[in-house]
Amino acid sequence: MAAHILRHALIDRIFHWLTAACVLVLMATAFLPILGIKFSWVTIHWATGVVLGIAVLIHVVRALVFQRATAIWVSPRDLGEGLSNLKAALSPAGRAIKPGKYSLAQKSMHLLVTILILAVLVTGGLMMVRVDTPFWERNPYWLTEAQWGTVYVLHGLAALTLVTTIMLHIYFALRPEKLCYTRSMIKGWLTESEREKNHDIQRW
Amino acid sequence: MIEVFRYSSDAWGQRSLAGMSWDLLPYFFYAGVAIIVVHLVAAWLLKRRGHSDQ
Repeated sequence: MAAHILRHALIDRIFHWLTAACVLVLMATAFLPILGIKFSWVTIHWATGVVLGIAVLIHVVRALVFQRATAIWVSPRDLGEGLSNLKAALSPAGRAIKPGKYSLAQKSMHLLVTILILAVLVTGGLMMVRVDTPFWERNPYWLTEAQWGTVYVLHGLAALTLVTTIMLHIYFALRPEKLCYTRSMIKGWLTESEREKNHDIQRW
Repeated sequence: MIEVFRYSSDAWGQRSLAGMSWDLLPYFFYAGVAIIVVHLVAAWLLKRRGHSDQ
């Protein structure tokens, strides 16, 4: 049996799939009514947003306090390596460089999703002021009309960009050469040979 | 002409910004489709040339 290398701890996998479920519910409750499928979506939308917000808060604290947060952030070195790998893909003379635990593509996807999720959470949190909840009554006058408009534009732009981003994320997760990473997000591990083939073990 | 923003009228009849136009939704969807198709073609071409698409 091939040796297994832990890539994602159980709590991180739970966070990933909880986030995925929340984002899909939020997108369905946001866009299905626009596409003509009418239902009472507001309560499901904001309640799911609250669950996502709590999950993200826990993830941020865990990443900053208990994990090496810089392992997933894009650095200038990653950009240089990405350029080298692009040259290697296009020319036999190029030299491919193996990444550490995460490739430039994986780090870039994480960064983009981070920006978009934080944008929808912050603007969505502000928009909840205009919705009656068990915790407060709505107050549409908390910001000016122009300020609310800006909040709604940012929320909508991030949500629309998430449509494209999630499509690409699912596409790459299903590509044959990336299936080992999808399995690692389900079961937690890569095999030793998968790690050696795709990663620099010294920088794992 | 594509509308980028939605507008509404406030209590005094003045036009105010209401958010992004939802007419843009298909464009973001098809942008995703286009990127996927381009990547599929590029990966296929690179595979034919004998390179890894990593």
